[in-house]
Amino acid sequence: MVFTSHVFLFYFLLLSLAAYYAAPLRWRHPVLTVLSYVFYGWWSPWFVLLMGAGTVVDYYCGTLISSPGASGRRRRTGLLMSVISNLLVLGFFKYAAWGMNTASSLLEMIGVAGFAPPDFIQRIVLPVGISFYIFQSMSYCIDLYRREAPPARSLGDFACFVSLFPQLVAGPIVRYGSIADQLRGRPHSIEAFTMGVARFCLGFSKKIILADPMGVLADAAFGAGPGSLGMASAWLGIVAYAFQIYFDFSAYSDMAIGLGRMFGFRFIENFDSPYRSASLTEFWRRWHISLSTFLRDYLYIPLGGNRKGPSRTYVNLMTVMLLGGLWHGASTTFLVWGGIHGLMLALERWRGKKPLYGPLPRPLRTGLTFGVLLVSWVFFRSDNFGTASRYLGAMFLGNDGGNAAAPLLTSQLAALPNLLWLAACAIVVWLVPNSEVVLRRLTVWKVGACLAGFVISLGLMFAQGYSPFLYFQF
Amino acid sequence: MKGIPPAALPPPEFPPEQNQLSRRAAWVLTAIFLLLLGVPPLLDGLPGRVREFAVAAAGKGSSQPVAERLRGFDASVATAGFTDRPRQLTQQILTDFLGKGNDRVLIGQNGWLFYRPEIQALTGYGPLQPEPHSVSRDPALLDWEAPLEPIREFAAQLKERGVALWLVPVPMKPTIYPEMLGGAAVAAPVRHRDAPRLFEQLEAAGVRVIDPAPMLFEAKSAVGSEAAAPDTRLYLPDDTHWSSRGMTLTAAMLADQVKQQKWWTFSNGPEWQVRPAISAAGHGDLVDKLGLQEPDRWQLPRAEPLQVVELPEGVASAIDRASPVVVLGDSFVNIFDDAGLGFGLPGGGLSSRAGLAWHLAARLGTALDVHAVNGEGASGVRRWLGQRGETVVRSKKLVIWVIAERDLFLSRSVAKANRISWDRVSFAPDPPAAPDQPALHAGPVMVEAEAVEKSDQADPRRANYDNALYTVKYEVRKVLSGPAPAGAFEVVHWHFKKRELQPTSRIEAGRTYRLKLEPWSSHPELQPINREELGEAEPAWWAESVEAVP
Repeated sequence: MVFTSHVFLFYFLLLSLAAYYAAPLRWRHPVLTVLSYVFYGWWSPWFVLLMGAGTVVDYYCGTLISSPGASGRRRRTGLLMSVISNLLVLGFFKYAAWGMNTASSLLEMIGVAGFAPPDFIQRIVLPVGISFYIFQSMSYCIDLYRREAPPARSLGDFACFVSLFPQLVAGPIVRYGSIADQLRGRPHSIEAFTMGVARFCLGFSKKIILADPMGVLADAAFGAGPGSLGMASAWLGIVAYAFQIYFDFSAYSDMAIGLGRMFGFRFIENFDSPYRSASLTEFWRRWHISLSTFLRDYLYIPLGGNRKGPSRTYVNLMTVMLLGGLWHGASTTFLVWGGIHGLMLALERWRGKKPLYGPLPRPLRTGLTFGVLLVSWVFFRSDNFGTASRYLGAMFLGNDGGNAAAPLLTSQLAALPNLLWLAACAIVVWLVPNSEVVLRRLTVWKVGACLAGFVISLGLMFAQGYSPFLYFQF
Repeated sequence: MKGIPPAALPPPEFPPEQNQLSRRAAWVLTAIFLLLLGVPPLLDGLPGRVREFAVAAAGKGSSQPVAERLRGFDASVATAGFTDRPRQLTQQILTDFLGKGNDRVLIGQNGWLFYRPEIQALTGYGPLQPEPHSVSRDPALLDWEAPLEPIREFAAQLKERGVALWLVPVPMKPTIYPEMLGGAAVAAPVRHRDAPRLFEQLEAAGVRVIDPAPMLFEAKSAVGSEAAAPDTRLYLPDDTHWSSRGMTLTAAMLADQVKQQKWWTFSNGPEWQVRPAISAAGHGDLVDKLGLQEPDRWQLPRAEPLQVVELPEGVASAIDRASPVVVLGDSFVNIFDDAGLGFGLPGGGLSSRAGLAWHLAARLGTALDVHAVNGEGASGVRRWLGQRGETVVRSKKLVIWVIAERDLFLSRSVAKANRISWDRVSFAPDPPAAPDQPALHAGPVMVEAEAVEKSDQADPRRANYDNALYTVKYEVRKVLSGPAPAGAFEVVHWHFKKRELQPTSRIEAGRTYRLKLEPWSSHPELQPINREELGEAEPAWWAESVEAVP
């Protein structure tokens, strides 16, 4: 189910709130779990079985790790079982087809032909949000092993944590330790609920008013066939995509955080105006904070972080970003995206206290950082390396607009309403405070404005349609 | 990642919030939010919706997977009546103040409207360079086949039976009038870059491609787009289709080509007359797709000058199933004939007799074997021909297949979204199998039957056509009169007329209805109308109305 679908808004959400608040306190987690399974099963009931099985395995592993007096070997066994089972599931659904296709291509290059991946592998349907909930579930066992989180009180509590529908499919990635206290008990109040309503409405408005129109432009540019993408179209398309992915993903996080508040939970913030960053290092402190924190704690630091000398630090940064890229999807384009970020982080690290862009004023450094991000987004958005290369050629060399139909695409993208919308997005990106800051001091007017935005967005959603959130595919 | 501390053990600390809302204000604002969510389902008819969900979830009698049934339920809720007014009002504001179209319609110069998929068909990947597939895309896209091979196979099947295939790709509006979309004036039709190569490959496979684009572009250049008056313009400004003039020019071109065939011997019949007429005033389909609250504020309803074909004495119809010339097509054939497409004669019936097939027949002086179904030009009409049996097909000389060019050039994801598929067609042996086809003149059959499965139902706001039928599979519960079908049978019903949902569109799977059945084949006037099907076999029955059995 998608937060911006009619079924979710007009049926599921209201029903969920009614069921949750009507249930006695001790039944609220089971109710929430069942609702979350319905929410997730809406895509495919089979996905629920997969998530349920993973939950049981990780809970069992957690029990092995955390049982009183457990030996080191037993604890290691529990951890390995959890990590291996989770990575196997992720590997099968997310990386099997890519791995086999890549192997097939490599074998062909050395003259070994005839190794074609079976058809069923090509047709594996990626369960929605699998990368998110698998990481969450696995982190539970790792945190238990490190003695950084208390064990779950019951399988029911743990199932509720893994499946919690407000943030299930696109984060923020919530670590068990950060929510264990809330699962034991959390306050519910009308004030917190209203805060949740305001945050949800703000996120919904961001998605419908800003992200989706940008998505239409980006899709038109990235859907252009060879010869149809002029230079202006390419630039408009990638700027639109940069805005789309930010508004889309941060809108989901806003809605998740808002929904969490309605059910009494508080989740960590996931975005902090990332395009205002003056370097890639700063960008990763502001973008998808729950993922960067996750990668830092479970990958960068275990690899040695910055404690083993400069060279190793650069290697670690590159490794983390390459794997971060692969986490998004099994494709060379994601690897290149991660590689660009890894390289820039390493370069900035190498420059130390002297900023990479020298003594330029901050707005210029911010602009340059945004430029690097645009190039990296080309790889992130493109279906394959060839498309990305063609797109970059169109952006920088203007060598892809030879088709007579190319001006039609440009005139469509550069239509006045689209330019106005792009300008509005730019203002929000660079001049308006982020959602958390806007709503930190809650007033009647702010909530009223959020509700008005919600109503306008509903009208727009009815008129213009909606698209699923981009991060669902990861 | 510089300077980031190691893993934090304590739970995160959240920034303090300064809530300046009174408790009462919080309750009021929350109540408003809950009302915004709760009132629409009440307006939507909650009990019916709950029943619909139960049927979708249980899936009794349905062969669809549960996930697909739930998608159907999603789509049904998304088109609920309570969305209409806010949708239209919002679109009106967007169009009035920002000149913004929607996901289907682009707004061009001087009130001209364009169909967005046509721009995608001109600028997308196209039929020869497949759109790249990535792991994040729907694996079902892998099953979508590009048009080249199915058309080659179809041509070979026809050739084997001694029948020639002519393909007539009807150019898109921006191909002829790019300047009306804000592009620069051009010296030649704007085509997809694969067009010449695709046409060459089809010619090499024995398909004769008769491309009207150069002729239409020349005709436009002769008068200029800005000066295009109703009687000289070649496309309708607010519709996806060509104008009566563009269509008749093409009909003349085709007729000339047919007459040059050695086997053509039909020149001595009575002359067919054509008289000018004016259609009923209305809006084009793109105005409907724009979904404005007050469409008249965008463009006043207007009439189209038509050329109505008069049948000569002794000729009953322009359709003759025995003709050696078959015309297959889509709404570009039906426009100005099928009144449901918006340009019927004032006070006229379903057929206006001013469409392409009528003009072709008039210029050839003989009736033709025509089968044109709106939205089914790519596959449905070919399947129909394939099902007619060996003897019928072998009696033909020529198939003229008129199809919207955009269908040929859409890349797979856009084609799939627009429900265009290029199916392989099998040719049925003789005689065509139709074991449960009722006799044409059987009397009324009354039954009580349980609806067990429904075909897809297009969204009337987004469809390319004004009228649509759909198919429901029933199981007989009680025979009230007549020779009733045994077991499961399929019935065609109205889905929407003039984009208004009909009562039969609300048939619910799992409920029992009283039906007055008539043979589907006894309603040729309904055949061109868009129809959603459950399978490849032709449905046996038609029912105008149904009555729920309590």
